[in-house]
Amino acid sequence: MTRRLIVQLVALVLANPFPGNFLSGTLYRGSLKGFCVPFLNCFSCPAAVASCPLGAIQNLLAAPFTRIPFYVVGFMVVVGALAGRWVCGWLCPFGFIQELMGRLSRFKKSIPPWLAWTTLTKYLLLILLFILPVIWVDASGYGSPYFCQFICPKGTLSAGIPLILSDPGSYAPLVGTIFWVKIFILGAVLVGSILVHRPFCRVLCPLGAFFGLFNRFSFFRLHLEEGSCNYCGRCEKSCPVDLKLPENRNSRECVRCLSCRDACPRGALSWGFNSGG
Amino acid sequence: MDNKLALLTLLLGLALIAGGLFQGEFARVIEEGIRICFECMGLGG
Repeated sequence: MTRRLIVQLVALVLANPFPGNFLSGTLYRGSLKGFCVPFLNCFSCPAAVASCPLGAIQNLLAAPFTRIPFYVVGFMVVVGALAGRWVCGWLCPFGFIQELMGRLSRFKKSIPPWLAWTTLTKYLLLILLFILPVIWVDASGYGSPYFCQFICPKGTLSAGIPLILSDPGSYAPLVGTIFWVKIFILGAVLVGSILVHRPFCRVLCPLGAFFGLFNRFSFFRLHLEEGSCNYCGRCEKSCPVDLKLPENRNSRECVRCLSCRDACPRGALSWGFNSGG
Repeated sequence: MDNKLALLTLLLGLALIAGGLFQGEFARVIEEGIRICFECMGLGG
């Protein structure tokens, strides 16, 4: 078992310490819900102890008297400034689930060049995440968390499906077209994860898009010891998101799994604080 | 240079957190987090 797998498991358990709630269909309702986790973890998941930053931002913006969600955005900025997308590679439970699905097949396809534009979708979703809850409102002035409502497969997996199963009498009548669309998205992401490494993170995740903006200059980043690198290409071959390495080691698309560092036989790539690379 | 940018960004983030806490955002996040959010799950539509 790799160190990263252990960290991912620990993060999953720490963020979801109430698995018994899946049976009762209840939520944890303590004050820890005021804190956000730095990754996708739906606050309607019965086991969740804290809030999802994306859901919190949208719900705060969706209220009729919109307040700019300084606290949640500030938290995301702090996490991004410290480590960029490291949380995607090491902490995010949905990234972990995609990787587990990916283990079903050793054969992985790259995103073909003619579909490279799809990776920009997450930036569009990030912009819409902030705009839509404010401008798309009902008659009483309320918006909705539209990303969660129409897309987020993590919410479907860890909140929607478990709650319906826990109390079908109450929740099944609420299932409609939107829910089935979300089931389709979840299925596509999970099946896609068998063929492509982390398709949701690379194409659709607005949180990953946000943290990626910090990758180039975050305190923790990848550093290249140029004198040690003989450009053998092992780092590039090991990269699950097909980055051109070592040049693009701090690309926005890097989820910082650090496979490249581990693949380098000469120790030319390192990961650390204030490394200046 | 990059580290200065990271430091400035970190300070900006901390200032945003402080501003949000000052306007009571922590309690608002709890309010949202403790209800079963049907919209969040795509239910009811």
